[in-house]
Amino acid sequence: MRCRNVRRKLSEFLDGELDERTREEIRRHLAICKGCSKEYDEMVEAVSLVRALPRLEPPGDMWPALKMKLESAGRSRFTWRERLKRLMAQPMVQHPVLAPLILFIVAGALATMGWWMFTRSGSDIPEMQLLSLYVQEHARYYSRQILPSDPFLGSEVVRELKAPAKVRKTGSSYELQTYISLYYEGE
Amino acid sequence: MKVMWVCLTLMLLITLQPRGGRDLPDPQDILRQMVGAERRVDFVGRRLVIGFGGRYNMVREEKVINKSPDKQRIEVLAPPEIAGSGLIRLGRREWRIPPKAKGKPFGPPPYRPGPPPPKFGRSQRELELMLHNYSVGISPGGRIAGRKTYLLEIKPKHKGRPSRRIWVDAEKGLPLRVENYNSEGELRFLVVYTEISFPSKMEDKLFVPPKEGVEGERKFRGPYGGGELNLEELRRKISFRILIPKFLPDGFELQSAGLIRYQRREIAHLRYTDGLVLLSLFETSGGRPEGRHGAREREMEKPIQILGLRCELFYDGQLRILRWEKGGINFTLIGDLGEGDMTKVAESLIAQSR
Amino acid sequence: MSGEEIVLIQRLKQGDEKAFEQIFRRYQKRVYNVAYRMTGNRETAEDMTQEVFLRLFQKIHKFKGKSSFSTWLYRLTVNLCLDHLRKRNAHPTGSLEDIDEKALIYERTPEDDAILRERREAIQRIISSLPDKMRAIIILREIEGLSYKEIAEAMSCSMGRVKSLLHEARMELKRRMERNKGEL
Repeated sequence: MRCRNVRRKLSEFLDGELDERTREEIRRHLAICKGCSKEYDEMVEAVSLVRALPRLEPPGDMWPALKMKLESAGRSRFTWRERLKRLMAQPMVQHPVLAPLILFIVAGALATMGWWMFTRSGSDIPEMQLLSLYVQEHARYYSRQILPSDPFLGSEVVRELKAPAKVRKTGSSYELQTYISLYYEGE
Repeated sequence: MKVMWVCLTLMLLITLQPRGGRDLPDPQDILRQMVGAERRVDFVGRRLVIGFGGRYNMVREEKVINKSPDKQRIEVLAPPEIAGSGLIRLGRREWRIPPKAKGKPFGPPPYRPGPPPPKFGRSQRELELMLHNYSVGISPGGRIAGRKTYLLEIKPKHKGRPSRRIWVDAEKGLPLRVENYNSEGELRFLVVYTEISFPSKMEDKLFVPPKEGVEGERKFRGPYGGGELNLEELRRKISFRILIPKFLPDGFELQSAGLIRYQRREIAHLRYTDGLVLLSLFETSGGRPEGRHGAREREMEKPIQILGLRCELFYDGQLRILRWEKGGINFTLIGDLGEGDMTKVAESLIAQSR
Repeated sequence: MSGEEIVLIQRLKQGDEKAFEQIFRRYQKRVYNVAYRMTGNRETAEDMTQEVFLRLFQKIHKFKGKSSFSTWLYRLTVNLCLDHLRKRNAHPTGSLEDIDEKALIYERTPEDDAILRERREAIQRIISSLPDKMRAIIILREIEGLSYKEIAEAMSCSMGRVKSLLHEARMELKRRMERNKGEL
């Protein structure tokens, strides 16, 4: 398959939208053509970066404002029953000035509490904990190297650091225990 | 009976034929193909993953479902204590699935981010670096999981670096067996596929991440930052003066840097690479953290003197760790490099501190 | 579309406010995300979200149930955003938007990492710099995860057009990222 044809189809190839035969032809072409393979890899890279963007939470509660807009637009087809209900139940929370103020105070209090708890969490980091952090960060970035990497990297060090000398057992259940917790902990 | 022996002998002779003259592809092409294979091939397979540790060997058997370019599902089949656990990867995000075993809730975090993606265009550069610093040889690899393979041998051009043996599927380019050898030439890690197949259609619903609120789950607390910065950006953001090694082993260059904020510390993380090895340098100010030095730690580390300064060296067969403190900064070097190279890097830093 | 949703839409057509609120709560996040990624601005996204739902309320009688409701809503959102961008005279190469990320709440991102946030802002800037239709298709495909068919309905174009536009958009995205790779 020629480069020009392959490149036109790279997007569909990425999405798995092609039939089996075309897919295989393109894959084979990519295996031998450095130019096209570079194009494809860069496309995948670009797409991955966008896909990694977080999905955001909409701010606050937009419903009250929307409801107001609906009514003021005069397009409201709400029944008179609804209107009466609304009139009867006007909570303070709907107040345009107090509501954001209350939110602000609460948020401030929570933030302060959070900060207080955070700074109270120990005076400094034990040295071994810091080392364990280093090893884990190293392993985390090492997993990005282009050749397949070792998922157990660093686990020996971390295990040694976490196991106090006295408690060390030689039975297999302990080995598995640490292995399992290492497999999942990583913190 | 005689016919059988003749046949057997013939078969033996055929398989033992000297392989000279067979047409083998360019090893660099096969390597390039292998590096991108998972992004292009959909497959389902079973594999054994083995870590040769100093004290324990770790083994597990996994089922892997891979959908190009960036979806993966891994299920652990054995050992029984962690069977049922696994991983779902969608692009950059990962979810860990807890094991089915009863008893202690090992509830892993449902969502765990992997490392941040490398800077755009970085992987091309790493491949070039690797080809520059390592020689790649190719030979027929026999059959793995029923597939014909080529064996790639990646050997360092400089001493004190790790090496790899990778059996690559001749048709699809996937690595079917990988052996990692450390900088001392010892085998430390092996993964091998025992079965593999290539379905034509793969359902997206295989990759639906687990719902939150799984029993026994913990809230995720880390990781602590990092990111991908260049040196200038790191210098601007960090509150103390970081030192850069004046010596790097042959073929190494700065890959990227990061700033880790952990509790109240700021830690610089500089990452150097030669394409295969990652050398991490961590620097943090604020003096030595409160140590809990017991017999354990002293047993593991061996003190060495570099330029008159006492440093601690540790090697577990996979990672060499060299630590010291000078001028109010704590330094930690981590990587699979020979002791000589690590020491020279440390020297070039120690010489710079007051 | 689930049975429950069909009932909701029926009620909505009759002007049922409760149904409208339920639909709003169910879909506001999707609409907000598309609007934010299209305009690169939090306030504008908020305004657009409200505008989309107002339009929805007005036009619900036009929804016949041929496509799925969510796709129909995406179409409304995309059209509104494209109109908005056109009105602002965004030229083909686009201008780089100011992004206020300080008050964002990230879903399920435990990291409080300023550096990561900066990289994300850089990516959003590049998305914002893409020509309108390319921007829309990238958002629908890569962020909202719509299928080709759903995209065709949401953007009122043929499958063929979806394929070629998506391809062009991805190539352009890649080119711009290459140019700005220092920030990424």
